[in-house]
Amino acid sequence: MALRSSFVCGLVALGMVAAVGCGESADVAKVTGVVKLGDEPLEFIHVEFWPENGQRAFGKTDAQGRFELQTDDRKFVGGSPGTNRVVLKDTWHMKDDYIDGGGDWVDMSKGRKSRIHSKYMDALKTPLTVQVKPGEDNDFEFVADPRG
Amino acid sequence: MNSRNDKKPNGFTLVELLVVIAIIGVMVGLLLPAVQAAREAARRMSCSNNLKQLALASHNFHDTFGKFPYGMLRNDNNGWGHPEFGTPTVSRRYALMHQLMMFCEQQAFWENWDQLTFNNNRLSDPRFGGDGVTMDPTNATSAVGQTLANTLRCPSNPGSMWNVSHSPTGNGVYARGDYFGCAGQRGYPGFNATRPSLWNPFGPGSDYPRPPGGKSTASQARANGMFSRCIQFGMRDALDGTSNTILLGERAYFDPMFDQCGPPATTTMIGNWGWVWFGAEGNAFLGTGVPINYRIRSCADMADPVRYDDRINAFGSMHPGGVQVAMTDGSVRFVSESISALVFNAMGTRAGNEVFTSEN
Repeated sequence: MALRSSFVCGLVALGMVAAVGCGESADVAKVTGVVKLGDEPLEFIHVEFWPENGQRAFGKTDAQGRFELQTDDRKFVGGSPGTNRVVLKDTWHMKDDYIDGGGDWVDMSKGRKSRIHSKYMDALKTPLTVQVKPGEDNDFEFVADPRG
Repeated sequence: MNSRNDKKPNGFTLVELLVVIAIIGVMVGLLLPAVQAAREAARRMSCSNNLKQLALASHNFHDTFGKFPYGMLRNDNNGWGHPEFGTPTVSRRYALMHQLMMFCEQQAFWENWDQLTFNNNRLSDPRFGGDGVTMDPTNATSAVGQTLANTLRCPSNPGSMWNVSHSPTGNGVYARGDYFGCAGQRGYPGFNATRPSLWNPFGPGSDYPRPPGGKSTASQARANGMFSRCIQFGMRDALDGTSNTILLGERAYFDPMFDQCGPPATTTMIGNWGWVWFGAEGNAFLGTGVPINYRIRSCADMADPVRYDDRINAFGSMHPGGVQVAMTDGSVRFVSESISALVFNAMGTRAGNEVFTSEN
């Protein structure tokens, strides 16, 4: 009898340990999307989703302007559910190496400017806000204003 | 009578002894982690004291000069000039902490510093081809660049107090500082004629609306925190309230992936950032536009200019669970890394007009 109850206790304890061990499960939802300037898809756009609470997520657009988010710590694919502010940073003028091994600047930028309006760079002032729904595949389309 | 029943045993049995030893063992096992935690608590207190001293020094500076110090001063004619200074004839530059030394009982440091020729304040390093004595043979006080006040080190941060400077004019060593001014949401990189400023909404070619009344437009509006390059702000500029605006913060110098992914023996080691006396954004500023304790997670992050810049801007510390910051009113607070990153953004701006409630 004692043996049996201790066996049950052991099982319960094991279950609790397992439940705690899985505590790091990702509270994220899959997020993909496309960034455009007019009808033109934009490559080299750094996309950031800033949730009200939870971890920031980021992605970078490919030649088709498409991105897929992963969390800041690179552990999970997706973004935090809920209201997210969306930050867009144009990096096309930095797509090559921009700092050399000696820490010196490499001049590769003269005359190159961001293609999109700079209001998208600021997490507090960006006009883009979206709802990321938990447990679903979220897909967004952002059409950016050109630089003024 | 039966003597065996009358006599009480006057010693311990083996079992009793073993039980006592086991209990002592358990208690020591419980205690050891607590000792480590107590040590870290002491280091954290020491760090918080440093921040308080630096905040007080900033206030004393403000009392004397009517404004907080320059975030950094760098008016040499290599594209970093400033209308207020015109075209300089000598390179004269320094970062925030340099100006506070007068108010941190480091008058001797201030007097030994070569205020006119910047490179005289640096020693060459024999490990990197120099003779270890001279940068400029005529300068007798060149060791000053390696001097570091204890107030500028957080005891929790690992690594050496010196780091290596590589530059086209020679390699040297500098003292490394752990405390930085808050430049708003982003301090690095700043404006540079040969480097696109990814963040700077007021940079060249920007269409971001400039605040009215700035006399030197681009520079004045450059940063939205309490410190910026070649410009001084005062208490009156903290329109969000001095107790809601971060003045100073700390950087964590532990980032294995940063060190692993950078080319070896270059400034791309994290420990080689933060030359405390050097006038450059990465050595003077942090920005709140990055989540607290942000770190490089893979070599892809190092190759990505946005992620790399994020790391240089990040507030961070080796204290578990968050960072310590000095607010503009002189108070020192612990900010948990679980704070909403948007709220932390708002804490860095001096006049953002945000409404937020910060925990703790």
